[in-house]
Amino acid sequence: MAPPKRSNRTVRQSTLSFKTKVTKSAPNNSAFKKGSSSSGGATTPSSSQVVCTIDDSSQERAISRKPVKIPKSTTSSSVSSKEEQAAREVSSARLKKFYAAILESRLTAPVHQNSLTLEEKILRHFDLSSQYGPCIGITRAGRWKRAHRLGLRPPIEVLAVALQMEDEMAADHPAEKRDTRRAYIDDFLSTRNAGE
Amino acid sequence: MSSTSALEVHDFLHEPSGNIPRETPAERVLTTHNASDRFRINEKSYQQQFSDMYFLRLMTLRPVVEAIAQEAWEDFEVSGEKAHKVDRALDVLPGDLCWITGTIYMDMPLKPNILADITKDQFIIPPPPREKYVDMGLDQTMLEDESGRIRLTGTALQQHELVTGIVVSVLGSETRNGEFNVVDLRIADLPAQKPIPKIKLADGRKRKVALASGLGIGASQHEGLETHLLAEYLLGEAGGMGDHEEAATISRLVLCGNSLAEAHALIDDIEDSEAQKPKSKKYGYDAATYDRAPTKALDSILSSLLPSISVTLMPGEDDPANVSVPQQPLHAALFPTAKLWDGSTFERVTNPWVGEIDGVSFLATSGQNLDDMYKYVEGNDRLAMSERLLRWRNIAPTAPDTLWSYPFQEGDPFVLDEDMCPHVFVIGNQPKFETTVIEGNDGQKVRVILVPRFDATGEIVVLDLDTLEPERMCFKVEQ
Repeated sequence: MAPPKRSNRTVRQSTLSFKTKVTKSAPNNSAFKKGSSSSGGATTPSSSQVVCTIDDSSQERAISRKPVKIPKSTTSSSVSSKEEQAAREVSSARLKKFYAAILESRLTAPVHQNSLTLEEKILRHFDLSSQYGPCIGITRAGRWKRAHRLGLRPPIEVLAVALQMEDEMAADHPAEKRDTRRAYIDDFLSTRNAGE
Repeated sequence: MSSTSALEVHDFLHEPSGNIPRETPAERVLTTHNASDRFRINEKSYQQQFSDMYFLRLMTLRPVVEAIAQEAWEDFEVSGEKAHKVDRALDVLPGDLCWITGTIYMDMPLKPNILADITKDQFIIPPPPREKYVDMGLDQTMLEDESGRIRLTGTALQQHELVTGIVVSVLGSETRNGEFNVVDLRIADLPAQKPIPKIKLADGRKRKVALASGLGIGASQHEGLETHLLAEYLLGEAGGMGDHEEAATISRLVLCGNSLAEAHALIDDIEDSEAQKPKSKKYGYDAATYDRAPTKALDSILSSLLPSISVTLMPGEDDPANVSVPQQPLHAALFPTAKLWDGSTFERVTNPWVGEIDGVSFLATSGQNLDDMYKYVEGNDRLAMSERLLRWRNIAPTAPDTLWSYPFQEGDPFVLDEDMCPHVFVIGNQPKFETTVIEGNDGQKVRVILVPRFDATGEIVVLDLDTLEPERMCFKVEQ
């Protein structure tokens, strides 16, 4: 028997698309909104909740979800959320004080650093601190976490700046700008870019 | 007609009447087993360099060695001068009696050197690989930490047999030409050990584990009779009732590497230059040269053993696993029938392997770590060398220098953790069977066993789990 003819009435199914939001139109639940925005900048795993509400407005019951903001901390391999939270609370005034203390401890000021931002200066000082291990072949945040795990007590301000770099690199990927997640000398001492 | 006066119980033939007492077949002893995936590498990244490994090793072991050195040399005085600790190797002042901690590096000209290989390639045929790299006249010992290196000299060094990659504390003073004259040396020594739980079986039987290495299947022309004899013994098919009882007490077989013989391309046998031309490859390998027989033979032996006894299979130097240490488990695709037991009795593990059988913790390697260390020190006393591996708390100190290794970045798994002292330390593929018990300062006791190659000697080691006494069993066919 011949296969049944397709009628023109059937609607063509749309292909999967991840661009549209999952939420259906839900009533504006201010209570829930308050809960998820209180953490502000520090998006820890505890604050990302999947909220299930029952849609009263539409006829069918629908499970609506707020678009879940995946916190950046889960993307790195070893998560130390307590330290990361403390790092994200470091203010820029504190960073300035920290770097001033570094300059105090040195005999002379570092040269040829006029074009660098404060963050990059702090990170370069951390890169060249050999007590935390080699800085090549590992991201700055990863090196901080490894040093922390080994009990070497690296300063929290460095983690603050390193996480800032991670956020910057994750947010936009400008091709010309160098990868600030890794040390500057990693660019020419490591073999990653050897084939290019 | 049976003669009731002579009640001889024949093992193989029973007379049909019911007067003869029937022996029920012995049941195999079962033991609990916990495996550890300490040496598994799930994500391989080669962006990092090996300096990370040395840094991790130093960071992990330095506090331990410093504490021991502090205790030993706190009140050390030589002609009124007290010894004090110096933090960095470069901070040592000449003439000052002090002690420093760092990693040893042995500078040996006879070590394989890539630059020497390249120059030799151009001109002459390369010499055969050396048995030992050590040469007393040419070698230099250095101590290295994050700041720099300092050369060590002194007669006290000779009695300590040092190897690249161990973390030590040295006491001495710097001489006029910049070398550190060593008076005394301290190492980390054995870590803490968990106590063995006392387990007694209801029927009072012993619990044993069989250790074998170097089965070397598939290499030679003759059938591998000894391997089949071993399999039959373990299954309880060989020998009399007494042998069956003994075989039933063995709960697990650990194969410590080199179960397959070295790969041997079929094409080598063919003299014809015509046949030597590479044929077209299908499925990624040239079917004419790849010899499947060894893996098939190993697979069939394993699948005859697995329904009855648990088998732990470690890769070795000659096996088709990765070259660098820690070797990852042999792939399941090599064992089409044996892999059906993968979740239950068959266990493909890494080399080195850490596992616990009925509370007794085992640390086993297929021998590459000891064989590489052997090239650094004089003498033949492999048992003393393996004792030193444990006392240095580093089972592969020469990795990554001469022993190829994965560049670890998060933690060096070859360094024993604080409470990780094994009860049994097994090293496979050694020339002969040797064993001893080494003791630590806190009452730790480790049984060290060197397992011989089965294809050379026909011997396996059977270890009793209660007393930790090994005994040797030999399977040889009279020629």
